[in-house]
Amino acid sequence: MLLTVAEENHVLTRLFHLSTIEMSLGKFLGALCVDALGVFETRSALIFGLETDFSIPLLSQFGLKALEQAPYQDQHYAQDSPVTRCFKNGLMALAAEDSGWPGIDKNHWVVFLPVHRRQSVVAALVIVVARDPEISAQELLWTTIARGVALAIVSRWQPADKNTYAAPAKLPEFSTRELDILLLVAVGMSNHQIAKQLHLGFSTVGHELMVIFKGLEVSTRNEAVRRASLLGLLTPEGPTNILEA
Amino acid sequence: MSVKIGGFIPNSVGVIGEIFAASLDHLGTSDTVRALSHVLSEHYGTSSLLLYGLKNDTSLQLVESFGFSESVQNQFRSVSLFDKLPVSDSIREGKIARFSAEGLLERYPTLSDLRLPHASFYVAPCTSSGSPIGGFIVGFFDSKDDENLPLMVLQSLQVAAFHVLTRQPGYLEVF
Repeated sequence: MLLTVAEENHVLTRLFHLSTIEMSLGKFLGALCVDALGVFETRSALIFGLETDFSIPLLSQFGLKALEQAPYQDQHYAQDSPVTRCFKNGLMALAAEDSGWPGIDKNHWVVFLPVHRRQSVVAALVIVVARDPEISAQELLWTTIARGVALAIVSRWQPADKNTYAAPAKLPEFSTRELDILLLVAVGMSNHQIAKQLHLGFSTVGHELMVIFKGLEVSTRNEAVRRASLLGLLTPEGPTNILEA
Repeated sequence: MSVKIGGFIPNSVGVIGEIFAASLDHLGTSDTVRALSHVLSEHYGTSSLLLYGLKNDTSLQLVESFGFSESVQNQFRSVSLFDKLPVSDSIREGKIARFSAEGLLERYPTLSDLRLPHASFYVAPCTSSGSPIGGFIVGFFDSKDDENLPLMVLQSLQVAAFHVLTRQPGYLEVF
């Protein structure tokens, strides 16, 4: 569907408006679907962020049930999927049947909008629309929409970034074993796998992880990896050496 | 082509995209304002900009400027929201205004001493959730109208200015 000038005007004006309204990321996605991009009969929206460990978690969504989100959850940058292709190749649209998303109605399209920040793609917005977006015929408009959406999103979600994390005055001091565990967490190992790899008890790994979390002032594995990476505690050769040992 | 105020010129979509990109690619206030001025200058001729943040609901503080002389910056570094000045009026009225050089001096005769070299000015408020947080004035060295500088571009500048202001350190405490 090619937009008329009045429709283009409406989409951008509503995007301007939403961009300056204080609301959560989830509410923004909802407003984006029903308001700014309502002309495409937008059914749902999902936003994925790229973490420093290259995992791609679902940050927020609008209009989908939990089961319908499943196909795109828990992705990794190294995988090949429509979402990771958006991170690598930018703006694209797929017919529902080509999207690998069984829950989407046949007559719909899935549009993938890259969210840039400082010329890097830090997130991807996925929207499901009932009207053909015809991206190739109106690429400039969609590129501008993607940038406007990106501007609104990065003000509501801070990707992992040295500028968004204030390093503590004193760097946490970890033992060699704790650093080894941290490195194995970063490559995606479970506590059981780490215990086996390092010849430690399962509960020992859990205890050491608590020490690591406390030292990094975090509460999840993803946060720990992100923060450790920003502090320069993760060296690329580390996990490989341990894995090869 | 004739375009009424509030109108839309298709190729302004690209300029709006560039304004968004400038805000995304730069994070520092000075860098972002410089990049925005560059986009404006490239498409609409050399421009100057004064960006203000609203402090304590009554005072306007100059946050960043580009292209205006040092004396203009010093004279208007801090002004009241209730002063009879273009940015103050625009913020209070919540409207974008366009002035020719003559029109500006007619409405604000006290500015005649500045001997500004610009031929046209746009003044716009910035809001967050509908509440004023600041505003800006852009000057151009040639005359402008809605045809050669669409309102949509000014509106996208308002969005960019909103992001500059809200990225200020201590924004919630200060502005």
